[in-house]
Amino acid sequence: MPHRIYFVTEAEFADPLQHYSNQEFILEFEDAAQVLKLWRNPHLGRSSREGAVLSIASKNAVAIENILQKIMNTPLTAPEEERLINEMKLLRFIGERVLPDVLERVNRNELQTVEDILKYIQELLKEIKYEGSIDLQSLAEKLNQLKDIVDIEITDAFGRKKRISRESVMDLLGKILGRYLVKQISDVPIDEVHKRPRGIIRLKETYRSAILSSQSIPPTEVKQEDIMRVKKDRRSLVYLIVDMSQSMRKTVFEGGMSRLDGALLTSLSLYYYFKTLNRRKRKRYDMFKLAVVPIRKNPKVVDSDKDMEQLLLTAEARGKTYMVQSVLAAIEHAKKQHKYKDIDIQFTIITDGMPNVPSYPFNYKTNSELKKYFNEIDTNTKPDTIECLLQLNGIFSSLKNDRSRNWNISYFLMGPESLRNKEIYIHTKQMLKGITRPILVDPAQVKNLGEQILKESILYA
Amino acid sequence: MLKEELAEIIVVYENARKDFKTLVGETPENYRVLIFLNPEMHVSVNRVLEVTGTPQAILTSEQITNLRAARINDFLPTSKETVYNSLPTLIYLSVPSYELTKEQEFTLRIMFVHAFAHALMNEKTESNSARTLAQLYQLDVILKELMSNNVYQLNKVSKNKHVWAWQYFQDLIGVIRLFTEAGVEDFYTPPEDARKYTLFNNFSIEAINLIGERAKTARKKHLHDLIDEGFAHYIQQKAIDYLLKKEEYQLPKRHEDRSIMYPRGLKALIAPPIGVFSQIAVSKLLTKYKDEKKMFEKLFSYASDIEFLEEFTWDEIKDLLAVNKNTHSEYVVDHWHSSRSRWSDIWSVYAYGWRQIEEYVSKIYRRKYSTFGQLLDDNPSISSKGYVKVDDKKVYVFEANDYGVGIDQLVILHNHMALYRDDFKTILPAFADIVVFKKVGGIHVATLFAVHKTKYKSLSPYHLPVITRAVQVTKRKDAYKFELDDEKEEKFEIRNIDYIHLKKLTQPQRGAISYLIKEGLFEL
Repeated sequence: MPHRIYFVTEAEFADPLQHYSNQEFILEFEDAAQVLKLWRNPHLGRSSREGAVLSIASKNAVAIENILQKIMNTPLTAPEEERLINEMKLLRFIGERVLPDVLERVNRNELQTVEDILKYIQELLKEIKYEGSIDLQSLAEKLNQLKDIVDIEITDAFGRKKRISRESVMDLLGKILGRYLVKQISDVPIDEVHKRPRGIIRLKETYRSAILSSQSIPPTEVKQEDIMRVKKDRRSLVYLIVDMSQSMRKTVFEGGMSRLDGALLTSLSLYYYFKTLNRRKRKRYDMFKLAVVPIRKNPKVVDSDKDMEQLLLTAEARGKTYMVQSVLAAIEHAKKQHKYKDIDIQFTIITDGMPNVPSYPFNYKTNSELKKYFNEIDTNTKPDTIECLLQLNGIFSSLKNDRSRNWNISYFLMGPESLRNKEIYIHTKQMLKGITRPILVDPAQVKNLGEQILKESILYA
Repeated sequence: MLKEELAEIIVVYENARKDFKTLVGETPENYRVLIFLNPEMHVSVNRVLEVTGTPQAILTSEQITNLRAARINDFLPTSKETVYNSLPTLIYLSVPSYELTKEQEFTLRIMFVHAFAHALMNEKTESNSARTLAQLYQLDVILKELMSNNVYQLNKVSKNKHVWAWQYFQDLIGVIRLFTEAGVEDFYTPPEDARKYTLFNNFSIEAINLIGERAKTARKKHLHDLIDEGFAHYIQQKAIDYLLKKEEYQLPKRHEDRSIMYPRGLKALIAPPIGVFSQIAVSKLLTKYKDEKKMFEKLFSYASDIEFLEEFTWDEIKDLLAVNKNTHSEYVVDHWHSSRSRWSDIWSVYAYGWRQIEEYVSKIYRRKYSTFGQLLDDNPSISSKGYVKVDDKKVYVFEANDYGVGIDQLVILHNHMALYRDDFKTILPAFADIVVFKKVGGIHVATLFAVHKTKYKSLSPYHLPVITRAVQVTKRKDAYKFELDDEKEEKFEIRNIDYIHLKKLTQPQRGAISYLIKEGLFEL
């Protein structure tokens, strides 16, 4: 037989242990709401925890099988051999003694949080102490893998599953939603829009450049590279003031997502949208900074990752609408930032009702014309609400007249189209007269809220 | 330039062929040697062969995940020569290094001789083993091609990318291969005219037909491992003795008992029980027939292991096992393992290897099994246990003791249940539920995979409102009582649950089923 030598590359002979699956994970807004729900409520997701126990068990069993083979087949150094034998003992112990017990506890909903698991491990180690025969130190390390049980299972648009640890939920969700927004916004057709996230397009220069590149007057087309922009070099602070009153508890569509969930996810997506945007720009400082101000008693401005996480985890739709207080908190916060620089400040309010808790003492001037309007009409609206509307109007008007900063205000009212004829819309419109106009958003379209806010208020204001 | 670097290896290869010619009188001609420059790849191929029986079979994503986890922790055996006993024989080796030390040269030479012995056996044997394995190899390659072409095409024709397709097709082939091989096939028979509906259906039908063919072929394969290994180890020992006698290589001797210390690289060929036992059985055959040539002819003429074993009485075989297990236990711990390890730790590993051989030998000797299919049917790792009827809904029950079938893979079974329905239009979605029993390490679990009615149009076969639950199967009396709180029970009106279609199950298994149905089926 003639002997021949061929060379085969890895492209022709691929590693059989490679994952075939495409790792691209497509998360829809509704799925994100589901993740948020699981994240906030460890009581759910028992089936995912049971699945995790099984997957640890089979991983361990496969490992034991391979270690057996390795001890028989592979030349080993003494420390290597020692390691394998120890690992095998531990894996066996976990597989036979620990995991059955863990599964039962998971069935009983006793292991729901990382704390539960750490406590369980502690107790287990104490118990084993009196039995001996196993290296407790390494067992404790190995048992840490049990923490995976409480990871959150996320499902993508196609139904594929993936597990992420609780700590990384916000980052992952935010990144996915933020990138989603980036994509949507850059899809805006160029010939209709003059201003872009990165600044204002200069029509004259763009036109001139298009003439030069297409060599005809008028130019036949405007190419992407012809577009001239003025780079934005002013800082912007964006305050997203989000309603968290009782009414936000209403669900918006199938799957049990509430208005609040929608608003929270929108806040998260905007928060990450600006984070991504800032990272893409090579500037010494962040162009946009977004803070969320929840509308609730004693509002606090949320402007760091940690606070954001806390807000997402604990936010609840309950109580009255403390909008005046929240707006005041935002103003106080905004005035402290960059005291001596001229910056843009954007207030974006998302609500599904009217404020109903006035703030005292109140130091702004109220509008007498608006007062007259409320006095003259016959209305069911409560006096407290009217007082709040007057206060808000007073605050906004004074902001508009403040020359030290460039204040922008936009107001999103959640509700169906029929709201236009109701008092809530009419009053709000009156209150905002001369300042801005209320934008009605359909709760069922809450997944597009982020896009809408960007287009209608922040970027093109 | 690589050719020059491999020059030393080629010299060793040619020497090994010469040795083989001297020792056996002829050389094999129909084989391929694949030398991996990247040893990781060899480890992977070796594992695939170990898990599925052929080097090109598609693993389920569960198997891949588990093996990758083991690889990260460095639990996978390495530096082993891998031989696939088909025709042509496929020999996989990791390259030790380009410049060989005397010891590495010796190791490699023996490895080549060992592999040539396999190759010669495959060329000469009367059994169908080698030819069948060659067919299986081909079928696996076809399946792989079919899968990648279809994924490619599916992604090309559709607007929204089918990002799920790779994993789904991979699991489809992996799972259905396991089930069909184990003889569970009563639950999928896609009608031929479903082809025209979608590319996806067409692929499934094509793949299922091929897997069916593969299973049929595999089940007919003769059991031939003992003969293969015995012959190879016999020749290998001859080669070691021959080279040492020629004094081409000097191996150190142990201080205590003057026994030879073999190069560490030969551990995989010398230490495992299968080599020890089969080699001794072949030597015993030689004492029976006296003449080596005649003994070889005999070995080539056996169709399967049972014919080989029947050369001896059962008592003789029992003796062979018992005596050699004892001598091996002392030898192996001294020679191949560190003196710091405890004897009982090491020996338990080898005892496990011996136990597997004992089970295999006694089973085929007593029941006269000659084919792979018979062995599988004796103790199937996957079996169908009938179904439970809940109102008008069927919940199928399986036992699947294979690490290839995890929870994610149940979606494949579910979607194939759909094919069973009379009103079959498309593979998705249907509403069949499954309970699977499985022994994982030390736990015996029952898993429920229930699918509820979809209100939306599925975007992919994974896109289903699924509930999965898992519970331990145990004899303990209070095991299934713990959490049915009263409030919940009131919510569901009493359902009509019918257990008469179930096949032999234990009482704990029945308990687990009823628990899962109560807890899981109505949870959404």
